[in-house]
Amino acid sequence: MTVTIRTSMSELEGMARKALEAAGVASGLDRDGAFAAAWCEAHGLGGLAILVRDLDALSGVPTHSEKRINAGGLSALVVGPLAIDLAMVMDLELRVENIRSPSAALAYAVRRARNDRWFRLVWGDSEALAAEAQTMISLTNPDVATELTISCGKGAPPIISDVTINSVELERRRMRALKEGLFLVRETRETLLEAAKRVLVPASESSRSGAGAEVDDNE
Amino acid sequence: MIVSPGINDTTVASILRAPKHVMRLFRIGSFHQTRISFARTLIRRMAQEGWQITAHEKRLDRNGIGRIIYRIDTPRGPLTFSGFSNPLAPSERTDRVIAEKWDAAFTLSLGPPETVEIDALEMEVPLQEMGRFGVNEIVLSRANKSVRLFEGVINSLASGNQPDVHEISKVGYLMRTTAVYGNGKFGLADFEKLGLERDFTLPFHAEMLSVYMTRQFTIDLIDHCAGMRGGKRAVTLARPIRRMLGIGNATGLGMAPYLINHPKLLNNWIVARETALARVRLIERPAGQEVIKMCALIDRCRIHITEWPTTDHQQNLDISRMGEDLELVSSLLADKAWFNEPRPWDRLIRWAESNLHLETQELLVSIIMEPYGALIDDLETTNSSDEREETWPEMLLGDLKTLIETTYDWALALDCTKPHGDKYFWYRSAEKEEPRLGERYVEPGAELEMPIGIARDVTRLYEKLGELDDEINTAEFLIAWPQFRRVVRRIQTLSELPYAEIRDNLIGSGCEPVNILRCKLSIFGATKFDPKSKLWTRITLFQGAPLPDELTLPAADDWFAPIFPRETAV
Repeated sequence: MTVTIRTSMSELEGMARKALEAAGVASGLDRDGAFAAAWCEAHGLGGLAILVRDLDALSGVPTHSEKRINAGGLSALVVGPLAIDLAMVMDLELRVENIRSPSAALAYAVRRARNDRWFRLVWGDSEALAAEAQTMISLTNPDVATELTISCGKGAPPIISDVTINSVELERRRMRALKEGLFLVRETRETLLEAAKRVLVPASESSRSGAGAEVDDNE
Repeated sequence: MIVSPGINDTTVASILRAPKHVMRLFRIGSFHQTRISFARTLIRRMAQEGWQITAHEKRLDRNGIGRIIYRIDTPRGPLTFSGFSNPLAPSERTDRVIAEKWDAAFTLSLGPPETVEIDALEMEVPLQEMGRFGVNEIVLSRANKSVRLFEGVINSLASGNQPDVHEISKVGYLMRTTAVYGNGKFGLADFEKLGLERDFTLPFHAEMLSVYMTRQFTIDLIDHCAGMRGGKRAVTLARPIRRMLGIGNATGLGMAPYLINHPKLLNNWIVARETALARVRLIERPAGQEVIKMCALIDRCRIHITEWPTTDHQQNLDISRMGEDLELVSSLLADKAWFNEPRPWDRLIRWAESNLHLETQELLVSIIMEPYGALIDDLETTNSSDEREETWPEMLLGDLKTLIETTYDWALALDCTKPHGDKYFWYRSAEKEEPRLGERYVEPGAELEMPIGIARDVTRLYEKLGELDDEINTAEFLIAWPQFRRVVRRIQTLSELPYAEIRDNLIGSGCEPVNILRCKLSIFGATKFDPKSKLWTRITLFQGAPLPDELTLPAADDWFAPIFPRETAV
């Protein structure tokens, strides 16, 4: 029987941020990756599973030339934000090759879809549209593809077909996560916690001495 | 109050104190509570909305071990505050976050007591960080007794006497909290849920409510213990003394990174404070009653600071200087000629900057806001913020460099080089993830440094940008050099938020983190700062605040700089 542990959204994001930091993800990108993991989990898109699966694919620097990024096998949790930012300043499609878990790029796209800007993401036979107050996904097998195409524009967003998850459903999932919490598989959560612990510095007498109140506090 | 007809936002902006003046460690480390501090705004909200607080269940043994459960009725529905009192050996009592047992543990829950699983909480809440909490629990905290005072008060009450007010004033509280957790920690409800279900949309209001309720718990606990010990001889604590009992708090480094990691919130908090000050300074000619109230407040402050207990040498010197300074201010305002010219409060603030000690300057900021609730209380609603920081990917590096030169010139001017400019590193300890400060060139762990050294990081970025073509855009730059993502985004996001940064080197040899703590604690509404080192401080919250059955009294909001009752008044 699968045992789950209820977790808050902010707690998951905090754990994910530390795990990303411990994995060597650049400062700032760790926050974006953690946001993406928590966003995907809260919207029923398996963010925690993606993060744990990709723990060995978080640290590194992608390469970029013209309209292409070679992710070098890195996860979309960390390459996604870099690629979305680049798509925002380009007027043509951006191709991201050799990327892992491309569906995770959607989270950051949704965050940046403001002020009339939209993003269309295509990977394998899946597709998603992120527009202000209008996110929809046509999703079949999100984990297999290794290439992601991002287009970005302003004004009326394109139409995507065969929508399997619409914005109403996504919002319903988010509100449920907010009200009831996230139920994480215990083993997966523990893997994440172990990864997160690597940002901690072992305690020592010298470190204890200046950190706070005296040990005996019976005055 | 005669307000100049010319007052508008532009006028206010023209008189705001400059960020380079305000956002220095030594100044923010001299802040005091204001009427828009969170403790104050919470009490006003409770009063305005008619919140009702009732003891739902009291199950305590002779020694005060057990629980008290409170029901809090708000317009958006009931809350439950559960306090659990536990035995604690003296050897286990420590203020440190790393402690594992406490005299009392608390939780605040959504819903009435009947829907809260109190028996389960009684097992889980004392575990604190080691426990897991339900989606309807919103705040978790714990507190230790101020042992000597606690016992002394019980003995007095048990023998039929009120406790010695002078002895109480030396401490000011019966218990002090050592951590107050919210916002999703350990499974607690997310902050957004609080806004949806109970209108807790302002930061830290739920936590402040928990602290306020802890105060009530300590009062009820002490009355119970005295009754048990003294039987029919025992008396309950007199109301004037109850009101002057606050809740203590020991705050260490854990609070400091928060302000660095939430710069938009910090900006909004300081903007609210500075805007309030500016509005008051723009008053052309205060009404006579306002002048009388201001003078009375200054007199009250002069007594209040004599009741400010601290063992810290520098704080004692500061208190002494404040006393002398306030006497000067009293004399100044006693001369009616001061009010012959317009904008007397503006002139007072300007005069103070040239003539008074820093702590008094900031105390005056708090004092002159106090009579003007109608003018400034609306600013409390500006104290929240979304916390997203976003890059501007299209910005060219040449423009980014210019942005740094214009908005982070202060950072470029600081020396962040070894060995003094980067002497310290901030890190999370394996012990409960407690943030700590280490000496970079002495202690291990610098490779796991938390990104607190903003000035150093800005300087490094600026140096890197100097090597690159100005026409490269931010998005391309961050693909090649992702290690700069956080600082680039911070600079771009905060470019129009002038009070978002503490304009000092937070890893340099001159950094005293206690100043950061005091800034945040004053915004919470803390008083009577009692620094124990440059790394931690004790404070008092809710001292003088109205009791639950006094919330709607006419003077309920008048608890700035409270003073202890004279013996004859008890």
